[in-house]
Amino acid sequence: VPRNAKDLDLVLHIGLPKTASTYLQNVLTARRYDLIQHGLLYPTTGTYEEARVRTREGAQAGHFQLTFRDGRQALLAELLDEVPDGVSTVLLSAEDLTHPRLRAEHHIEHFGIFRSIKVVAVLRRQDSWIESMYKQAVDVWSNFETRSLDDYALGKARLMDYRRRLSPWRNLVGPENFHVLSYDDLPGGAAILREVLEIAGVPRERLGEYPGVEAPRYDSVRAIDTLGLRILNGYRLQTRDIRNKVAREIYDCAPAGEIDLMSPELRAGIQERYEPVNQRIEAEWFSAPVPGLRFGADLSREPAPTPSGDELVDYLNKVVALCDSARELELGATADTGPASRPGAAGARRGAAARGAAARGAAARGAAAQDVAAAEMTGAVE
Amino acid sequence: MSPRPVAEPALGGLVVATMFRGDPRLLMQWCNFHLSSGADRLYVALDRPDSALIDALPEHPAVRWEVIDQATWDRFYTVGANVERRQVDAVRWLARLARAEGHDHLAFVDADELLDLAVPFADLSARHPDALAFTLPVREMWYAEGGRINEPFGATLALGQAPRDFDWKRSFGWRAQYFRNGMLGHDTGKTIYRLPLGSGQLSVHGPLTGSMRAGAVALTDGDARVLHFDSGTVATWSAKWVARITGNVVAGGLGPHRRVQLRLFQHVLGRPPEEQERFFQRFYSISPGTAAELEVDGMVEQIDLASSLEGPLPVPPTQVPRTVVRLPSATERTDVQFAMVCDQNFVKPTFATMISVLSQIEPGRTVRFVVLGDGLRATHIRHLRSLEYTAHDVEVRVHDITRDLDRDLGVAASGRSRATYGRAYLVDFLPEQRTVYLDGDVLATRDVTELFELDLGDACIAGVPDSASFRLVANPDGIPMAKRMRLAGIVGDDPLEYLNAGVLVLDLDHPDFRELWLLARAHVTMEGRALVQRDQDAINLAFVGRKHRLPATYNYMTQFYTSERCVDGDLVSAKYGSADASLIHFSGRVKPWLTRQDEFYNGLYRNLVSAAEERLGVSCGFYFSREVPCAARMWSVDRWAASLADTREPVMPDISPLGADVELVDVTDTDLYLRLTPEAYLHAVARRLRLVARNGDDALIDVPLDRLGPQQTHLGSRAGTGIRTVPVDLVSALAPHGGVARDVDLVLTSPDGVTSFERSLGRLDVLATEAAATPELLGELPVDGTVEGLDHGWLRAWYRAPGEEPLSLHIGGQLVAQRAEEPDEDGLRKISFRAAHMVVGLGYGAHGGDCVTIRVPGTNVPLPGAQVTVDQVRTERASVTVVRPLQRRPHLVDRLRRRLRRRGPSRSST
Repeated sequence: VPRNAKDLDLVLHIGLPKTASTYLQNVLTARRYDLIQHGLLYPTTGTYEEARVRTREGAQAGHFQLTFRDGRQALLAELLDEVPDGVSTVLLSAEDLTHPRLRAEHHIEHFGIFRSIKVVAVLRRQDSWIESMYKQAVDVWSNFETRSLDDYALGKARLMDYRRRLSPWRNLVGPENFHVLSYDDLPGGAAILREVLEIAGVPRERLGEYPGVEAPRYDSVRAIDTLGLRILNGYRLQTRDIRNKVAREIYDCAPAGEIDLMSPELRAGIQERYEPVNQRIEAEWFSAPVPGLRFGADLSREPAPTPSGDELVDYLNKVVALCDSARELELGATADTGPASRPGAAGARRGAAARGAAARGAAARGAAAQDVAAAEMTGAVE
Repeated sequence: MSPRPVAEPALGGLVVATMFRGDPRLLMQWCNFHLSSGADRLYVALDRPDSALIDALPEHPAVRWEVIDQATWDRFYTVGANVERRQVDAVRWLARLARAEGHDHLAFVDADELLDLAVPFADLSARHPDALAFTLPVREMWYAEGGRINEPFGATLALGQAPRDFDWKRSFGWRAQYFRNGMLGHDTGKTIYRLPLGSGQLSVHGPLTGSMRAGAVALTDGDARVLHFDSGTVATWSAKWVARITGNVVAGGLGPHRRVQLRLFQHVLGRPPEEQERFFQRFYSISPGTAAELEVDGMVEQIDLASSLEGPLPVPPTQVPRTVVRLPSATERTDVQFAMVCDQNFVKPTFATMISVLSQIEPGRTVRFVVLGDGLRATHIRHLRSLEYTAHDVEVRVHDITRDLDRDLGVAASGRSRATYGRAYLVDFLPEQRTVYLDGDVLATRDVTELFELDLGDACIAGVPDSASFRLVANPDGIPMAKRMRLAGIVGDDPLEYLNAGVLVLDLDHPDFRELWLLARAHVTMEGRALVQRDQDAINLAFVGRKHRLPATYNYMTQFYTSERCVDGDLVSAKYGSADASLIHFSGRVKPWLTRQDEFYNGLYRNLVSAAEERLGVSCGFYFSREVPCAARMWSVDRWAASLADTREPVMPDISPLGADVELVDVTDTDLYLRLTPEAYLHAVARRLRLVARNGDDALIDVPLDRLGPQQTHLGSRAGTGIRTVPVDLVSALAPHGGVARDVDLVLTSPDGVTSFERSLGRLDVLATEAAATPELLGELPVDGTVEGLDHGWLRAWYRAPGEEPLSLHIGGQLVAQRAEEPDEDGLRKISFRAAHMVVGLGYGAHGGDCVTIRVPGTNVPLPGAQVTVDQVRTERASVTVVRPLQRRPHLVDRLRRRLRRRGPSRSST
């Protein structure tokens, strides 16, 4: 590792996911050269040039490669080679740093080469956060997530206890170098960006220059889209391009308005469980009140009406028709070209046998998913 | 018994100190005893005293009262700081006060302990002139039967150390399970310190590490000891334990034995005062017969201190009757209550047992299941508690007994499930009402709630005779002699008295039940490994003559009735006569939930479980279980809240007595390294605490903690987290002392000096500037060692030093890493640091000429030996070609072999 690491301060934006982190990363990438003028480097080392998720535009995962233990030392050496003269601070952003696969101390073990470390985490009230996470899980290629939000939330209790989850970071860098922001108390991604930049040392009087670009946002899909995507996932389409195409068509055919994905019982249960946690976080980690992190208030920024029953039935029919044709298309492509020539590394890895089985079972599963989704949706509309 | 002669004046030359909170009568008697014994001076740190006590404190030239109020604690400690930590800091503070007054020795004991010396301290001190500390053994004080249980020092029987093989259970019965090395309280004793204190860490009992530990002399009971009146009076006992149970007092040193004691007392303290008093009398008293037995072994001594307790200080009168605190009862009775025990492997079968029982009970009745778990995870507990969300009125309580089993049984012997022993702990957790215990391989075929109405007569438990009992009656010759004799030894002439413990009715409402069950547990905890049938033997032993026999239909043991042994005498008719059983015990080795084998009872098990699942709408998760569709969508708010919570029981605070939120890590010429928790850091900065290094009255360093730097994240796991530096100028500070200072105290002080209390961070034997840090200084300490040099990038050294504190690696005057090593038989510790990794890999040592040194604890002086520089490390690293020895990789080879075997004979061979 080059010696100059000891002359550099590090700011780590560790997420959480679904708190405008992609927007931040897009702006930081775009304004990279302007930030260097403030002595702040947003390095390219550790980022992917190509997004992994392409159903919608604008996705990226920041310094994703630096979230793994293996090879990180070499990447850090590469990163330090990238640091120009005059830069005193390095800003890394990767929401996967809070992924449970590695503990905070394992990250700090490598990042400890820097002179100092500041950690920034953006928190979002648990009910809206888990819903947003769920929408992404349904949306993402290769997950084939078909569970309801309630079933999905069942295994996520540990992730929603922010205090337990983030305390190791605070203990490692010290309370004065651990910064938290409240997603729902800041008016959008631009405000979060400016807060992060201020923590990273950009002079307050220059913060107004940011974001300064039209950066793509990777907002959550609508709840109604998620319903359609669940049905699509039930078909387990193996060809990424076909799946992406159908997903886009599903977005296009959705009616206006919104439905509630979360049961009132789950919402109330989350409140009962995490309200005391958030109260403690607000008291101990924040220096100013953060009403957005408290439960009770309606966080939806643009309340939307619920689609009518007819609209929903039409929508479901369209989704099913789209999925059926996509399946036919995929089965046809398999017959024409054989499994070896299929595009997509992930599909190839799964092997022909799995693909065959998936295709055979798709009809049955698709139908089952439709039934379940329709039943839940009816409940939601009622 | 004759009282022990007391040396007069035994305590001359000593300051005796304590920290006090509680009963003023106890305090005055404590003072009077030590003044009567000739102590030069008494220091009493009054912990948050009320104004009435302060006003009533008598003046005495030999007594110094020091008040520590809540504001003082708040100034120096974060919320929830360990009580023992505060006590240790109080010891150091009082030691400094005593030294400042010119005293040479200080003894610190608790306020319920008296220092009892048979040899005058002056003689002991003369006998051991170099001793830095004297450790004293402890004697636990017990009441004689009918003793004065309302007097703080009214216990008169001093119980001493026993031989290793002493049978405590024979003398103390079920109470013996609460002993630790024969003691109910602590068995560590207390300490007399030479002033000023030496270096190293302290606990409330004495030195743990450093020069004090190395220079400590252990006194024998014949010379000196501490009399520990742990029980106190019935009033102080109830107040103390209620405070612990309700969490008002966080006792850091509450070890496993104390925790089981706490559970016992929790039950008793919920009873009316008169019952509490009876229990207290019974628990803390030794009967004349037992006392006589113990006296034969020389283990008990009668001591009556009444005459030395009443003056010179006035003692407040005894308040009779005193207030006895009672815990509120938190548990309501349910219509029926079942108990079970399981480990991770038995969660699903236990759940099956629960649903099979529940599905037979008519809705509307309140049901409680109490499950004791060994190593259960949150998901297991959630599964068990999912029963609460069925249509029945059910409560499921899951208690973790992992730590109890760890303590009493350790790791299970191979092939044995230690959860089987878990039944023994039921008494600690069961709400007091009749309970039916069921093994996890028992299923109900019909409602068995009549067991809750059954008249048991004078019996405390009921069960079905074990299969061995049936066989013994049917054909004694068919049973091996050893087994016959074992059963006869347990139950005497009637073999059917030996019950199978798979199904038991426990009559907790019977006044004798608890004590008999505790006796059974004493068998388990003290003789568990010797019990052939585990706790089943223990229960049968303890409840001899107090058992009720149930018909075999309440525990139909399939393994027995399907075996070829079930042919003698009337066994065949019994087999068919009981076949329409209410409770079937699938006791075979091959469990039906593990095998798909199509055997009659396997099929029956599957059918019964499936029917119960269907009826209750739940799933056991067996291979034959049905899935519950859309489960989460149907959940209630309560169920969601419970599922999102960590359903494990809150763990009781278990803080090491050494666990400090601020501690000294290292010192260099320019920096002082401290480790602080985040809360302690914020606290210290907000309170503007200062760090002072004192050499006698001289303040070498005085620096505010708001100058603490950021956490040294680069140290991370190499030296621990939370380490910060505060800049100091050691060279200037030590210049008037020739660059060296000895016996340096590090304390935290308040900036405004409003209190004389100072929080201690420890003591350094020797503090020297880099230039003055010669190897000779180490010679003054009991430290020996040398740096051997570099070896393939590793810096190797050996050392001998008291204590377990880690050694530090410094590169260029900067702390880089710390580690400790265990000593070998000769006390030698070998240590290696990855110097090349630090220098080349992580970039430590900005200048090539920087030194790489190893420093020993208790001082900042480096180990002598090879002089190593950063340049040398780099050069050595560059010159060493790492040659990896060609290793055989057996797993790969084996894998290859297996693959080749699968292929069959090779082509060449065919």
